[in-house]
Amino acid sequence: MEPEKTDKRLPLNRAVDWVEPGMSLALQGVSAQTTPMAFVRQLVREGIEDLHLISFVGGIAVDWLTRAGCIDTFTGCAVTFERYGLAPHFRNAVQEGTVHYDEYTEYTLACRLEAAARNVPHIPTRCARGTGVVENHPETLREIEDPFTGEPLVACRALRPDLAVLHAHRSDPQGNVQFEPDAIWPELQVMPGAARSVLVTVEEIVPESTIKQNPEKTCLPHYEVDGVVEVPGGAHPTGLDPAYSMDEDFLVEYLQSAQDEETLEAFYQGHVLEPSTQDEYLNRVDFDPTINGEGTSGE
Amino acid sequence: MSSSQKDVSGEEMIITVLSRQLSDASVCLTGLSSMIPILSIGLARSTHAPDLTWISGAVGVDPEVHRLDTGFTMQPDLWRGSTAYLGQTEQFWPMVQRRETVNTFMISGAQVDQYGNVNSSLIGEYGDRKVCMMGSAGMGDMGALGPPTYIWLTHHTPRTLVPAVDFISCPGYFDGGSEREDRGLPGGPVMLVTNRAVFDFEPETHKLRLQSVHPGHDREEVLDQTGFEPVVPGDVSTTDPPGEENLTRIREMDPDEYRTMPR
Repeated sequence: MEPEKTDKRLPLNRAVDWVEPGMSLALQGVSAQTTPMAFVRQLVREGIEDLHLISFVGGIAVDWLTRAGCIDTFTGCAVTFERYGLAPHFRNAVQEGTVHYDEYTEYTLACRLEAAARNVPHIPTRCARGTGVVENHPETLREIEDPFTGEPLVACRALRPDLAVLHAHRSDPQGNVQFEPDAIWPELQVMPGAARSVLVTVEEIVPESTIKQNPEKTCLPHYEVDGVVEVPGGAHPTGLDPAYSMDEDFLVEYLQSAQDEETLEAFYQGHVLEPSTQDEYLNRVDFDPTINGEGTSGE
Repeated sequence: MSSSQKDVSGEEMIITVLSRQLSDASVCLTGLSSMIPILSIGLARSTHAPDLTWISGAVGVDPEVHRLDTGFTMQPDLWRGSTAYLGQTEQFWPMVQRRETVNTFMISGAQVDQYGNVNSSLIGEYGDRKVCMMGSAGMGDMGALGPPTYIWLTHHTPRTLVPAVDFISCPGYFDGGSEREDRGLPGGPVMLVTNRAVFDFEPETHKLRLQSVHPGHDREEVLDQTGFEPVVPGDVSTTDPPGEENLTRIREMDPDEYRTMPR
């Protein structure tokens, strides 16, 4: 008789129990793309404090977590709503000194995570020399001379987050995670390997037999994953290509609401605090999972 | 000059000037908030540089995108019809470090100084941000690698064109002269184009040098609105406007005016 495989499924409200105050949390997300937003809303509702958040390019997730008082440090290379401007709460909190913006360049942050993923103390790069970022991080970025050629490089010290949280297209109950169209974003390539634990929210949980039909799509084999949570539309309002595009109208509406506290509070209550289930949230935002006419299978 | 030519906006002039820097041999990169670079690429592709290479969002190679209908430019809708999707960590960043493939890099910021250092991070000090801005993103990485860099700025004022930036998000020529070379950094910025004028860099001092002033603006105004004294040669020309057809192309690519940036 074969031993039963470990079932790593858990509900969203139990998944946030993995997050404790003071923890470093690596969150997937580049601007308005592939951010585990259902998980973020749950974190906000739980009101977990003193988190050290690590993300490449922050957007609405960083802004909501800042408003909720969840983070005291943000490590990343940008926080932006691109054409629509800066993240209002994050900007204010940094200016008031309640949140520290620990700013890296994109690739020095990638190298720090990759160093942890490869289990080496640092990774050198030609990038970022001469920037204020390197100058202000003597403990984690340092100009060094290559021991063989003497060439100047920047050593990026390993960064090992306590927990990485990602959103992907599908997984089986054992945690074999598939992403379309394969792993192109930096987070998928370095965050899971760098972090001590890995939690993945997915659009759907499928049987192992479905995963086996396309093993080339598996970006994280089960032994790299500690927990999986099924949350359809879990990246909304950010996009999950090719399943659905970001909801640009929602993002703009949020920013417009942030211009006065009353409108903002109504928006925030209605979209973040009140919906107690993902279904209720998706109803409120008129989420259409077939927005690109593709569904989550990406076929 | 026809009536619509008089109405060419600062953004449309910037797009026009940037597109003229591109050729079939260009390999261009776009990332966050790249509405203006994307439109300059689109204009060049539809006119004099149909075979240029565009790496959209550091992922999608040569996408079939002919219209801008979003204010978020680091995203898959701008990768449609690509010939390849590059993994950012596995393919893109190693590639830009190992050879001079990307030969056109277009960036902006909140401050640009007289030696082409760009700040998109903060006003004040790193540990005490009076104004918190976006962050250095990938421009600090690329800036150290030194591809020919075209700086664009939609609001040319003494607050944006400053003697020295508060923070170097993307290194230019530091304090000028040979400092960049002395530090072992190759290349560097080659041009600044704003809503008022075009500058290049004086080869010895690496200080910004006024090259041309856009129609509808004059030299005195440009100098008055610049927070330092640029090099001003005897012959400052007038920037060639886009022409009726190209202006129409820009507006057709971007009917909802994503090219305008918040102030």
